Amino acid sequence: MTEPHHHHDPVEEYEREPVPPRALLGLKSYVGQFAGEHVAGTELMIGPLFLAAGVSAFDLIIGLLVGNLLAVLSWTLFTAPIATRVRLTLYYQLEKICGRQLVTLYNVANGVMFTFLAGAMITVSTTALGVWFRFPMPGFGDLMPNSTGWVVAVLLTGALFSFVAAYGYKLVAAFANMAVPWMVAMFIAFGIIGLRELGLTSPGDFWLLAQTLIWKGGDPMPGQAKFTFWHVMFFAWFCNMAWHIGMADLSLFRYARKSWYGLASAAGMYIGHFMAWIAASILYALQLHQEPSNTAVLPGPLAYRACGVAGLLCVVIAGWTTANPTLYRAGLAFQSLVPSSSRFRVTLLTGLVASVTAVFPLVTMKLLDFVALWGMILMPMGAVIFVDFWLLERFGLRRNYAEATGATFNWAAGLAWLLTMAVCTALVQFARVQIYFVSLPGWFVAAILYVALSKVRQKQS
Amino acid sequence: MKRIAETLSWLALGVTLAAACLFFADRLDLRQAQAWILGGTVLWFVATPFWMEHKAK
Repeated sequence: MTEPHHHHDPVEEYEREPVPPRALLGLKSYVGQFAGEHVAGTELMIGPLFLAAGVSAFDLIIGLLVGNLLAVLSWTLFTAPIATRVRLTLYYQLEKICGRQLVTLYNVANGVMFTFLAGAMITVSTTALGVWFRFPMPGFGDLMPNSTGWVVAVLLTGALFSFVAAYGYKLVAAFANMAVPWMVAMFIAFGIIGLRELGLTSPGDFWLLAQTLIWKGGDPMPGQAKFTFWHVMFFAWFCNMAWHIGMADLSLFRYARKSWYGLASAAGMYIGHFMAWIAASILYALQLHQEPSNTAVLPGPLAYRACGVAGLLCVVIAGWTTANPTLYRAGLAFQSLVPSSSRFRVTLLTGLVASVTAVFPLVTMKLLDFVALWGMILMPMGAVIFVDFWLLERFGLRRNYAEATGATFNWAAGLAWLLTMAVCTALVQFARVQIYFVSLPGWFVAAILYVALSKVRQKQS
Repeated sequence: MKRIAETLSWLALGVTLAAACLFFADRLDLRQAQAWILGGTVLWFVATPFWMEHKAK
């Protein structure tokens, strides 16, 4: 999902210059990277939440197949072509267009979202501790903590994760790389054991079981939006929107020899956002089948039911290895506000805030909405980069305006960003467009606004 | 040494997946399958650091 990259490649090199030909990477490293990055703690929540949204088997399977394909095409046709032409990081590319101050604002927005996501990961890992120590954990839809044990466990987990992200980030990042093949195997095991426990004895009967016992369709659980094919498709397409259409992966693909390496994202999509979501969904269906009154979406107990202690380890490791780079990136984003501040202290402080948010299971229980919101907030800047690169000169306008003029805040880009968010928010609040869909019209709004505002801005100067 | 460790790692993944499949085929009960999966997990994390490259940023 929205896990930030714990890159295998040296992304912190060539920060303010194009990647030279000798540093380019082959297809294989992209396949490995994507396969590793999209099996994360978040998958354990997203699968069950689809089920809670009353999705049917056909809508889920076909929606995921199509939505993930659109995500792969977005990386291949939007992100990679620009990345392999300019070979710059997202931040440097944005700085050339928007100016340093606006990039800082973008960084802070990103940092806030990373902090909440890290909080969700701390929540996920803590659910495994709840199985060991048997303290009451939040039920489905709970937005407030419901026991002292939960609060203490979350804060301790959060403190540990934050400390490690601040002081031992590299060690956990190396551990994360090592854990990936095992986590993929564990998700497959979750699915196989879950299906057998649900009564499947022959793979040929899967579809019947899927329709009648797993994704039965019907009404969603209280407080959840009903998910149709379109919801699933748009969710799968946009859940990494900040990275593909939002262009965050310019930093990743600037090393790619060819732009079609964007297709390597299929490895991540169809392992992490197809197989893993389906497996996690099956675990929740099993719980509802065995204990119909237990609607709690808690990855710890879900994984324990199928795979025992190894399942619990998987939850803790999946949560931790996602929280680690997330906290690290959030720390870097906030540190950019005051470059002289200590990254360690900023990361620790960010981790503390994330831990406090993790006590309240709000983001975790509303993870589908949160992920869609994240895409909506960062998408307009992707539209700005796309338009700036491909279209602005065709309209007789100057590309990379901030670089050309020395501006520190290109208000054409800044206003395009803010107004797009305002339009999207209005569409959600007043026109009843659901958050999962709003980023599609939002992209066109951002693109048109940026062209129009650039025309005004550049005419003035 | 590295080659032995790598072989053990892939064996560990094989054990994890095979345990799930044998449970599916009613050759293992759930407790047995979970024990084998835990064994595969331990073996993976013991053997893998000996050969997998430590390429963190």
